[in-house]
Amino acid sequence: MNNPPFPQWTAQNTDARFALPGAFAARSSKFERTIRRRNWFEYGAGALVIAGFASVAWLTASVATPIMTAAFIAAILGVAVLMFNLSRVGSNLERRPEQDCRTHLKAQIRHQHEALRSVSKWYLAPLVPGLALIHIARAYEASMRIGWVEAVIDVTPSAVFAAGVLLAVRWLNLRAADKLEAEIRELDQLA
Amino acid sequence: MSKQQDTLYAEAGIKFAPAIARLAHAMERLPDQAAELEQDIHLELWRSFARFAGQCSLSTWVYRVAHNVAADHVGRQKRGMKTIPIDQIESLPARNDTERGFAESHAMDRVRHLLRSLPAVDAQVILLWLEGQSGSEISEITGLGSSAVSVRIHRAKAVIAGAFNPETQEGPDHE
Repeated sequence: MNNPPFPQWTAQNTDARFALPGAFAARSSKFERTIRRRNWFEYGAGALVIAGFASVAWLTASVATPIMTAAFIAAILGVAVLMFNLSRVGSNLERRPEQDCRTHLKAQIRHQHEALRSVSKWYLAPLVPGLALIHIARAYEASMRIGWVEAVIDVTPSAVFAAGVLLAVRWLNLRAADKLEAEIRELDQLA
Repeated sequence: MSKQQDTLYAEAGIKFAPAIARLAHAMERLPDQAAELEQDIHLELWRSFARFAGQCSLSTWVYRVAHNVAADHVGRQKRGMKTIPIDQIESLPARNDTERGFAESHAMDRVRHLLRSLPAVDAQVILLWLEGQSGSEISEITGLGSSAVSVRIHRAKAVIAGAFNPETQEGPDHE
């Protein structure tokens, strides 16, 4: 340091000063505020889904078959596991901004890449038992009225739709992970 | 808060506060966002000095923290927009209408506009070069190899020099 190529650039903001450390006591960075807001949003959404399933399970407990009640309980447990996984996998890396910029950026991208690549395991899998049981329970209840063949035909469209949504979420996440992998390769080439 | 943390923060403030203000205003277009980024960098620097044990020079440490915090700050917006690598840019972008309200020089506006449209690593190298850091210092701060840094500085010179000094298309050699 220091021989600026264009003094006009370094002639700007020459009167800037650091904030006094006392101002930091109650302050969190934008990054931290964003993470906190995202966590509140995700836990709020999870709580709403759990409350929804719980209330339906409660209201239909007296008329639904045991398998349907079990399906709702499985769905509630699935969402609870998903929330737990979100806090574990979706949490941020320990902040070490003093790393060199390439390492810092690569660590962030690698963290996101691993979360996206394993989305089937930690995000989608907990939802599968509940969704599957709900469809089985629907078919079982319908079979008592219209027989098994008609019942299976009846639930097939929604089962295919649910499976399609899960597969689409998986595909989108894997595609995003591939893009991040390409970014990591590009960063490696810059070393 | 340790005494060393306080001392380092005060020393960094004397030496680098203007450079950090320029970084913040280059990376964030809106004044309130730039001010927020500047504060975030001060906060993270102050926190980081608790971990400083002479692993590198104070300058390297400060620039690393500042650029990483800035990259995180603008990262969300940058991920949603298409950036153009410096090696694909022929000249500085024209200042757009939304920036006309700012009472700043045309050249500065165009350079800041360029920096905001670049991928993070390109913008980091060019900003450090504008601050007068040498090629080896930029390598140490960014973690990029010397050839990757040289290529970016060479391109930055070709693109930016004319805006600062229309009579000479090349800035001073500074690698």
